[in-house]
Amino acid sequence: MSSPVPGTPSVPEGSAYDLSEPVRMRARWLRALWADRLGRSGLLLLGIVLMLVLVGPILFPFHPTSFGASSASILQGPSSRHWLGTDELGRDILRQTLVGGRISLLVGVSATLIAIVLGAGLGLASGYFAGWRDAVIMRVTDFFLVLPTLPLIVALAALFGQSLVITSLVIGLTSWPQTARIVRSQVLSLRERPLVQRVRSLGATDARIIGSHLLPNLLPLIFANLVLVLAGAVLAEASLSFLGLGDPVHVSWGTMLHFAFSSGAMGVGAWWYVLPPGLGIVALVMGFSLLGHSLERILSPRSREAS
Amino acid sequence: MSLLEIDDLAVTYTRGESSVAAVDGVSLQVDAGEALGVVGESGCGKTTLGLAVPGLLPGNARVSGGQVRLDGRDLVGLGERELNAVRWTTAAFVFQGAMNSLNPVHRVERQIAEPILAHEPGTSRAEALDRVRSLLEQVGVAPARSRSYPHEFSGGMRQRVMIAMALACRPKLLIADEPTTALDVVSQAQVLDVFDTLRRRHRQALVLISHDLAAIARTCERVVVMYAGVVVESGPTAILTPGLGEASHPYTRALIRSRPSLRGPRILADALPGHPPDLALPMVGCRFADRCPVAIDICRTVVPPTVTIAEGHSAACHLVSEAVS
Amino acid sequence: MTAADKVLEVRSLHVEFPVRGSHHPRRVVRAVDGVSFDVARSEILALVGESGCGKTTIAQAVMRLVEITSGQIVSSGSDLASLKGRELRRARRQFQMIFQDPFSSLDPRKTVYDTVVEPLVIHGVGADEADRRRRVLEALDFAHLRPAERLADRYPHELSGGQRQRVAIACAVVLEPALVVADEPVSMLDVSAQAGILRLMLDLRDRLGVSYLFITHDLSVAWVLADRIAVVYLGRIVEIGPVADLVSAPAHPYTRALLAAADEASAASRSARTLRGETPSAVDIPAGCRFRPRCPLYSELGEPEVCQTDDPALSSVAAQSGRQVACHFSEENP
Repeated sequence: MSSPVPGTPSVPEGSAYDLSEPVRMRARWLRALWADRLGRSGLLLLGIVLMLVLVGPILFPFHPTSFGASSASILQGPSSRHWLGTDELGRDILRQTLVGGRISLLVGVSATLIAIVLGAGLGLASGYFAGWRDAVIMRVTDFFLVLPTLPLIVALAALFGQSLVITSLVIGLTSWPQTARIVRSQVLSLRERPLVQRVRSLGATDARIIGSHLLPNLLPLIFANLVLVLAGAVLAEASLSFLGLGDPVHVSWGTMLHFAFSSGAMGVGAWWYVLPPGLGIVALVMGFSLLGHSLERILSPRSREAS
Repeated sequence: MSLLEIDDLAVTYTRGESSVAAVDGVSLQVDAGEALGVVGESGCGKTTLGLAVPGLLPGNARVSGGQVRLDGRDLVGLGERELNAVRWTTAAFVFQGAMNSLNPVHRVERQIAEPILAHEPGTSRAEALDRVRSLLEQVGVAPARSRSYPHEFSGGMRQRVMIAMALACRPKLLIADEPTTALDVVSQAQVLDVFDTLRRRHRQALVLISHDLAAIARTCERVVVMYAGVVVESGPTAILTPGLGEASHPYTRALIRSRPSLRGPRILADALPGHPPDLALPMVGCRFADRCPVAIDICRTVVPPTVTIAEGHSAACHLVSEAVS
Repeated sequence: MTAADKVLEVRSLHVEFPVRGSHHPRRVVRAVDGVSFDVARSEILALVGESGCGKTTIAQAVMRLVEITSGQIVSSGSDLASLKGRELRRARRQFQMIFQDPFSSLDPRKTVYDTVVEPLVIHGVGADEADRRRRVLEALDFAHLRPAERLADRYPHELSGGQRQRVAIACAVVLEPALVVADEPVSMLDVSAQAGILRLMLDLRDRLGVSYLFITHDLSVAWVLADRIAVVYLGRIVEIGPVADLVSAPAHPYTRALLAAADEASAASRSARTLRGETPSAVDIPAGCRFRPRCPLYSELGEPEVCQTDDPALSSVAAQSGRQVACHFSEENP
């Protein structure tokens, strides 16, 4: 008998029901996120950045070729005409920052999608099939896990050239191992659940068990992980571009920092050139991290049992 | 004066806007050395009742009325620190699945000794470990195994280790919530034997909360039957065993009938239809009326009074009160 | 009983698990150690024993949910133990399982309808969606989940424990299997819900002719439900027979101890009869009779040598049909 009493300890009768209640789930997540201090800060931070980056360029379009007319217009501090000053070519920093955020986000998101698909896929296969397949996949994962990622990314980017696609691929292909490990460990526990045993004894194929029962139950976990990977990917993109390995045509926040550095803007104290992209990166990474950690806490079975 | 006196206790859970009285005016007494069984289906409020005594209610629950007096001391409204002292030394609690709450990385002797060292400062480690060994003996675990780790024990043994821990500070009252539910018959019997021994040798007072009528019938002298937050019948446990006594309330009778018995005929009883009422809704009349096979009109409108059937046996049912008067 | 009447024949089933973390490669847990039994059409056979005795592993082996070390599981002429892949999946239609925990055996994200229609989809049963819907609603109604139309759209968390178990049962019978393996299906339910589930299982037997392999630790449940009982101890059947005979005149000392533990009315003498100690580990099964270390009869008889040296085989009890016991001294009834 289900107890009509909310929170009565006698209800679950020794059962583990971590992943339950799909209907009100989405609303509950959001409410829980908002109630959590970290989650709320993350949401607010991301909300502001996304608004600026998505709507900003429409209001303040950036023309990469609108160079300054004279040497007097380069590396100028904030003024009424250029709210955040100009760069070494006399272009408006505010407009450039707003567009640059789009590039940073674009690379971050596509790299994350690659990493999540790879990580979740390999983690699922590894956890579900066990045996030699598990061993092989996990050794490969361990290999990638212990590789020093940044030097590897730098080497790969140098090797394959500079374009948004290459950058996304390189970051994506090096960011999956954590996801694979997390998904695998969850699959290992789900696999032993009566649910999976019951469906298997019905005669379901592996594809059905994975696609119809495991994956939907893994989605919250994968989603929380995705947000954290996003933070890492944005940071990786910034690092790469800062080192001059980004796409020079599509200027991201990292690339802006790179040009600020190489043009000597830092040397002449042009803080208005460095601060906007720098703060943008910090806000984005922090927003995703806060959100990710908060989600992880809300969705993890253990913390839910306690709540 | 009784060891434990619960008087008109009400416990309310709140979630958002709604509040639910999981325990709604329950009174009972336990004398020193006595064993009382509390029986009912899940959601009837028996666990909440048990948690309310040592002040272990979850955050969204509070005592909204009545009194809990333990050994002459009113427990409602005590602070956390005072309750903590009461919990081990006066009323100890063994909850369902307690056996899984042992710390896997510590030897059991250390875990049982912990409350002794915490609550009885001045006890030396050697004295505490001595006491651990005698406690283990009391619960039927060889004292030599005190240096084992929890995983080296079976479920039934771990549950007995938890009982030993609960007894560490010689509490006057032991409250056990579904202590045998997750165990098989033989382990169940062993745990229940432990309770018997404790009561015979040490006059240990016990409140046994369970949905298992058989466990209560063999361990306790008196039983309180709860339904939807209220007590519907209380009396000697003989009323639970056909042939020894007779239950008066239709709910108690239904519970007894639904339990297959090796002594009984090989027929399956009729299941009790329906579900307990939603406690969030207002209650009119008898709470069992909707499921009651013998309900009459008055049952749906008037709350039944508790009437005494015999010395120490009472029930809250209109049909019983008609028969008695 | 002729071969045609049998829906399941298990022949010398062994299931062994490697001991994890052991340096001895050959140290194994002998979870099921040579078990043979049959289940006839429409018969309910209860496997009874303490936790860890191997009864659940037997159920899982029959369902091919664990790797079988050796032995045969014969159903309608073919040995399920040797099937693989597609053939195994097809054969699974004949056997269905009900699990102990109704909370974790249903998918929390699927409605009752989606859960019960799944077996039909898997095995391609039903002409079209409408036909499947009809079958699902029929199965729900059958399982007393009424009104079926409305309950079909519910999620597991909106149901009580008893209702969830009914969904699991509807799911198991919607394919009209020959055998249902039920692993402690009522032990996590309230008393009042238990009787309803047991009654439903009996109904299904009477109406569909389905057989049950019913796993329970509770002899009193087996008593009201089963036709025959097999008592399992440490991976072996130690006694098997018709339920009335076995309960009224248990022949194995272990059966007697189990009965004593389950009999609530024997309060006066219970302490003397409660089984002492724990089941030995299935890694180190005692030599001779495996029940010897806990056997009250063994000490009463002055520790006869045969119990230390010979592993008693399951053999017929004189003058009782279908009754077998594995004890050297089964005739010595105290």
